[in-house]
Amino acid sequence: MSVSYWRLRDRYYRIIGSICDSCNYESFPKFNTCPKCKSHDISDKEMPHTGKIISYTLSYESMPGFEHELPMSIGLIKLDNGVNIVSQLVDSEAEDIKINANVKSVFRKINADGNSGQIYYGYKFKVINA
Amino acid sequence: MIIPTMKSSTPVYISGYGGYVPKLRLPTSDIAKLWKGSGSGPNKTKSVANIDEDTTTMAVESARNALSMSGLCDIGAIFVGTESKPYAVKPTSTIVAQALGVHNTLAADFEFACKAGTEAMQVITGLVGSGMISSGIALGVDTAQGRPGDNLEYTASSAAAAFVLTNNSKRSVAKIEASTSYVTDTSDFWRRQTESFPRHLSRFTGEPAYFHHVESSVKQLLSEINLKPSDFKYAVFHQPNPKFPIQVAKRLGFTTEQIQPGLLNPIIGNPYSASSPLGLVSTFDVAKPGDRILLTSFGSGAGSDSFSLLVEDGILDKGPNYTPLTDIINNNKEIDYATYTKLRGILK
Amino acid sequence: MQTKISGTGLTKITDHWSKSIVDLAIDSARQAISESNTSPDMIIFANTLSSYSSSQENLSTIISEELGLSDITTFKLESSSCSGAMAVNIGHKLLNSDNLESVLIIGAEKMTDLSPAETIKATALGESYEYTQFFGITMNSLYALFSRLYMEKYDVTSEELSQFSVLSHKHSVTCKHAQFNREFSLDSINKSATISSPLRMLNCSPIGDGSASLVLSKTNNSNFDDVNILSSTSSNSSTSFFSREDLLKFYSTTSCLNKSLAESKIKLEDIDLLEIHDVVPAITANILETMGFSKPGNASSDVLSGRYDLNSKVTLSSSGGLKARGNPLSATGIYQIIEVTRQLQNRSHADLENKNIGLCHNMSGIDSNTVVHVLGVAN
Repeated sequence: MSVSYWRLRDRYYRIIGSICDSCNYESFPKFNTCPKCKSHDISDKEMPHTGKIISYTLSYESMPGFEHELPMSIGLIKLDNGVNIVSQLVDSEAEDIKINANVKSVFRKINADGNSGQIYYGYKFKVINA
Repeated sequence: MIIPTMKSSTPVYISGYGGYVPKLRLPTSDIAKLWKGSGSGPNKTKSVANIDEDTTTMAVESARNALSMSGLCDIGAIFVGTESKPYAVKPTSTIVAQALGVHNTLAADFEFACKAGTEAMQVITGLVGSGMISSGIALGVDTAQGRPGDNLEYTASSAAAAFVLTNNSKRSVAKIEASTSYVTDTSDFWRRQTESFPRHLSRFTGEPAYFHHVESSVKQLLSEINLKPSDFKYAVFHQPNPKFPIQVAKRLGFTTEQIQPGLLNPIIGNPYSASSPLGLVSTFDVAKPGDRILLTSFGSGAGSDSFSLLVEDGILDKGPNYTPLTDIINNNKEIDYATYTKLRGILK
Repeated sequence: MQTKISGTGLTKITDHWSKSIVDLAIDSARQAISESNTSPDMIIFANTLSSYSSSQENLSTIISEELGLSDITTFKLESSSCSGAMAVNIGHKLLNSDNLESVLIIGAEKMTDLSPAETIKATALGESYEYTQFFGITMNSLYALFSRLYMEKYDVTSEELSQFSVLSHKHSVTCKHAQFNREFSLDSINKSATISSPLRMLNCSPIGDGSASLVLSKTNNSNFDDVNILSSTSSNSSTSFFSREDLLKFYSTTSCLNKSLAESKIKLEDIDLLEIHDVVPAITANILETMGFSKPGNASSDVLSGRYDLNSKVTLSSSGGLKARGNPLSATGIYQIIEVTRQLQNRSHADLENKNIGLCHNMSGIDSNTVVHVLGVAN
C-alpha cells in the first residue's frame, strides 16, 4: 500500500488527471490511451477543485479500516470541466446534499495502516452553500 | 544578557494569510455535565477536528488559502509549528509541500508548545530578510489534546493559521517591523515522548509562566522600538482561556477594544500553536492600511514571541477566493461528547 | 459452431460453513460430469475471489486433481462477476476450434470465509483499487449512485423499483438451490435497513457460497433433451460507469444484444426466458430497457402489471435471479445458463409451458464487461 500511495500522491492530493495532447479530452483518473481519439500522447492535468453533485448516497456498510467513518456520505460529482469523480462528501448536512449542489475539494485523511502504519491523505469534497 | 530585538536587514512582508477552523463545536457544558454534573468551561464551545482531520489536513487547508491570497509560487520554506504531529518521526511539512506542489523548499516541523507558529514566522523572517529565500510559509496548527476529565479538556481545540512571508512588497498585507523572543526553563505544561496527553501544574501556568513570559517579551519589544500600547490599533495575545489575554492586556496597558477582534477563545477554545496566529488572521480581517498590530504568543516550557506589524494596502485586496475567518467560524455544527470521543480516537 | 449443454450441476447457494472452495467446486462438477456421461478434455475454472477469500490460486490444477482428471488442459479464468459466463464463452469457442469433444466449466465462489467488512471489500475488487477501494467506496454505493441517476432521469421512486425484489423472491420460493425460499412484501422490502441510500437490504443481492458446473460438448450423451448455444457474445466498456458519456447507457449490453440476435438469427420477441444481471433494481430495469423488453423508465411498472411473471410470455429470473437465487459472483453466470437449460428441458422447479429460447446476460461491474448467451432447444 505505501508504495502505490507514494506513486499516486499528487493524484490524491491535487486531483491530477490526464489530458489528451491530440484532442484535449480530459479525465480523472489518469488514462494511458485517450478514450475519445485513442491517442497515446497524454499529459498530466490538475482537475478543477469545484463542481456539482449529480448523484449521492449515504452508506451504512464499510470496508476494513473505515468502520468509524459510518455512515459515509458519497457523491458523484461533475467537476467544472465536465469530468466526473466519485468522492466522499464531508462536513455537509444531509439537507444540503442534493442534485446540483455546489461542492469544493478538501484535503483529508483517507485511512491509515493501523496505529503504527502509514497515514493516507487525499481529496474529499464538501458542499459550499452559496 | 538581553536578547536584542530582531529586525531583518531588508524588509519582510506578509502577503497572504489563511485561517482554518474545523466545522464541529463541542459545548463545554457537555464536558462539564460528564465530569461535574453541571456547569461549563471558561469558554462556551471549542472547535473539534473531524474524524478525517489532523494537523496535516488543517495545515494544507490554511496554507492553500494563504498562498492563494499572496499569488506567489516561489516558496523557499514551509515550517509547520505544531505539538500534534500525526507522525512522531516524519515531517508534516513535506506532506504540506507535496499538496501545494512545492518542492525546492526548506521543510521542517517546529515544536514549542503553543508558540511554534510564531517561531516559524521569526525563522522565515530571518531567511527572507537575509536574502536566502524570497518567500516562505509559516504555519501554526494543532489538534490539541486534553486528557478526559482534565481541565484542559474544556479548552484544547483544533485550528490552523498560515502566513506567506516575502521580500515582495507588491501585495503586502503587513510589514513585519520587529520581533522579540523571551525564554526560560519553566515547566508549567509538558508531554513526554509516547504519551497521548499532556500534563500541567494547574495554576502555576499563570504567573511564573504565561504572565512572566508574555509581559517580558512585550515590554522588551516596546522599549526597543520606542512604541507604547496606544501606538497600536490592535493587539493579539495567546489565549489559553478567555481571561488571561484580557488580564495581560490590562497589565501591559492595552484596552479590551484593542484585543477584541482577535479574541477567539470563547468560541473556539485554545488551538495551541494556532491560537495567537489565528487571532492575527481574525484581526487582519478587520484591519485597515496604517493600523499597527501587536502579536504575542506564549509557549509552555516556556517562552513568548512578540511582533510589531504595520498593515499595508494589500489588506484591501484579499483576492477572489478569500473567505473571512468569521464566515468559516460561523459555519459550524454542535456535537455531543459521545461524538467527540468517536472523532478524536478516544473511543477505542 | 455447434455446442450442446450436455451436463449441469450445482450446489445450493447458502452459507456453506463446512465446505471449502474446492469442496464446492467438486460437488457441482461431479454432478455435471455424471449427467454428461463423458470425460472432459478441458476444465475451465471461473473464479474471482480465491486469492483474497481462500489465499489460494492454481485452483484449476487442484480441482482437476481432486476430480481424478489428469493429462488434460486446465486453467482459471477471471473477469470479475462475469467470470462464469466468460468461461462458457471461451469454452464454446475452444470446443469448436481446438478439436475438443467436451469442456467442463466450473464456477465457484467462497464468500463466507471473510469477515463482513472483508466481504464488502471483496465485492468491490472489480472496481478501481486506486480510486474506489482506497477511498472506502463500496460496490453497493456505486450501485446506489447509479440508482439515483436512474430514478432522477425517469422520475421513478426506489419504492416502485422494489417491485423487482418482490418478483425475485416470488420466483425463488420453490427453487431448492436458491438462497432464499420465501416471499417478501413490497412494504417489508421498503422498510428493510438502508445499506446505501436509496438501496435497502432487500434490494441488494446477498452474500453466499455456491458452485455451478456445465459440460459443453459437440454431442449430447445425457438423458436430457438437446439444448444448444445459439450465440455466445461478449463486449467490454469502461470499468467505471461514471466515466461514460451517457451515464445510463449500457454500451456493452447493447453491443452484446445486437451481436447475439445476429449470431443466433432470432428476434427479440422469440425470447421466452430471461436471466439478466439483476443485482439491484435500477440496474435490472436499465438492462430490460436497454434490451428493449420495456420502454425507457417503464420496467418497474411492467413488473407490477405482470409482464415478467413466471407464466407470462417472457419470464424474468425464474429461480429468483441474483437477488433471491443468490449471487456467488463467478458461479452466477453458470447458474443462469443452468436455469434456462433445465427450463428448456422441462426439469426445473417451475414447470413452465412453451419455453423454447432463453437469453442469459451476465456482467461485471456496472456494464463494464458483459457476456450474453442465447440458448434454444434443438428443432
